[in-house]
Amino acid sequence: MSRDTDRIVIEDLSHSYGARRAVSKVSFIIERGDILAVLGPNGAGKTTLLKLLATLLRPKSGFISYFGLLPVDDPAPVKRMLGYLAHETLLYKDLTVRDNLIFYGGLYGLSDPKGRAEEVLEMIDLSTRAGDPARSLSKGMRQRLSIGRAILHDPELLLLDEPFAALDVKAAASLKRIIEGLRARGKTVVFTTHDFEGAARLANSFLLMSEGKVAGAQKGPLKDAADLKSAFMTAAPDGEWP
Amino acid sequence: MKLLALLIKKDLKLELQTKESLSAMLIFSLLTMVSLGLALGGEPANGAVLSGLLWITFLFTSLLGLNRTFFYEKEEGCLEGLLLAPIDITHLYLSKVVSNFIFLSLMEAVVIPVFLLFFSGGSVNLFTGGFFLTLILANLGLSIIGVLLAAISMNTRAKDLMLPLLFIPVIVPVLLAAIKATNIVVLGGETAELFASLRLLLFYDIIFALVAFLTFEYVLEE
Repeated sequence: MSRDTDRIVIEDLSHSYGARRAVSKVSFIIERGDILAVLGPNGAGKTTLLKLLATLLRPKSGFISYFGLLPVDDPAPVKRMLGYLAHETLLYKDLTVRDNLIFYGGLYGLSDPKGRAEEVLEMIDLSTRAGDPARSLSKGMRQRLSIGRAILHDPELLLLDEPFAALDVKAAASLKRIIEGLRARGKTVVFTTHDFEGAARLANSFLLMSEGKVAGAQKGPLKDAADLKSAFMTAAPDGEWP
Repeated sequence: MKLLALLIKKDLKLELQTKESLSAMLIFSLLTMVSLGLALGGEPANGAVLSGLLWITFLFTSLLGLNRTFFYEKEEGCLEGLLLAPIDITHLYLSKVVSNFIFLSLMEAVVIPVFLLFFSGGSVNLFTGGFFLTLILANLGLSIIGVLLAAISMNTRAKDLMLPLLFIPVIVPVLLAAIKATNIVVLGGETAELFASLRLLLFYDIIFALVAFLTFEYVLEE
């Protein structure tokens, strides 16, 4: 079993929901500091892959080594290094914006959850709404708060599931700033998307999923998103591309 | 302990914010009392009937609270947020048991005096050590078993129907022991008999707490 402290190693990873195989024998490597875009048509297995990476699902076979750590040995250190942005906000709508962050900060054992919550509120530009219930925020603001929740404990690996899908212009710009800031600090980001243009601008590594399998991969920044798209669409011609 | 306190504080804060569980439980228990009072034709209930009516009211009222145990965790996928955190997830179970126990006890603190006034005209005194012990152990039983079954039923399609179907058969021994212990308090039976009922309640609480600790993590898996 290979272990490496500077890489995330995914080997022979499979997961099924009943008889339906969502991810099948997926293997790839993510280098520390990579911004990996996982592309693929609907139902390709992108969200399942991200949930497996987030330790929310137990693989039926295969394994993931996070910078040399295996969650089966001890899940807590692995979970501490993960930040996850899901389709849902994972926020308590009846708690205030600030209380949501303080609560999650407490779960991650931060030494000063209140102070960190204020820092993150500044970062996501929600300081003025800190005392309002999360329920009262607009969809875009809620997504920003979700991003704040995901980066609250300064994770080594940030997993973002369709992060730009529900964002307004301000939130999208804020998220891009955050991702670029994380990249500058050597953090690793994995995000799923349908948007080739956006992926090409932000990522330096690309993975195409189709029918639960890896259909293609590219390393290094891209010059032309159209090339990537046509290469990937050739690899998965039957996919339901948006 | 810090983590447990954080999780309980969150539940209490949410309840304080919305008052949904507690107010629903209170209104439901008062309505049940009125219905039972009408069914008895306004006559005072004798000791044995009184204990039965009291615990049937608490049983059905507790179901209301238990059905909402994981409501906030399911609402915006917050359960995933908890599962992502580097915590021992049995803390979540414990916090839900404590929150339910608190809500149940608060509801009972209001309902019991009204109940006694309504059904015994104030002639029965339940405010004894034996009854408080019965309340604590039976409330623990309702919460320990109920939270585990609420977690099992929350991912089923008909979760509101599933919980009573699972809960009522399993809780029968707790219900019977609580009714028997209350009867002894009301009718003035032997202390040894009271302790036998309390021991049964304690035994049932411990067994189900152990089952919950061993299985809760797997119950939450997708």
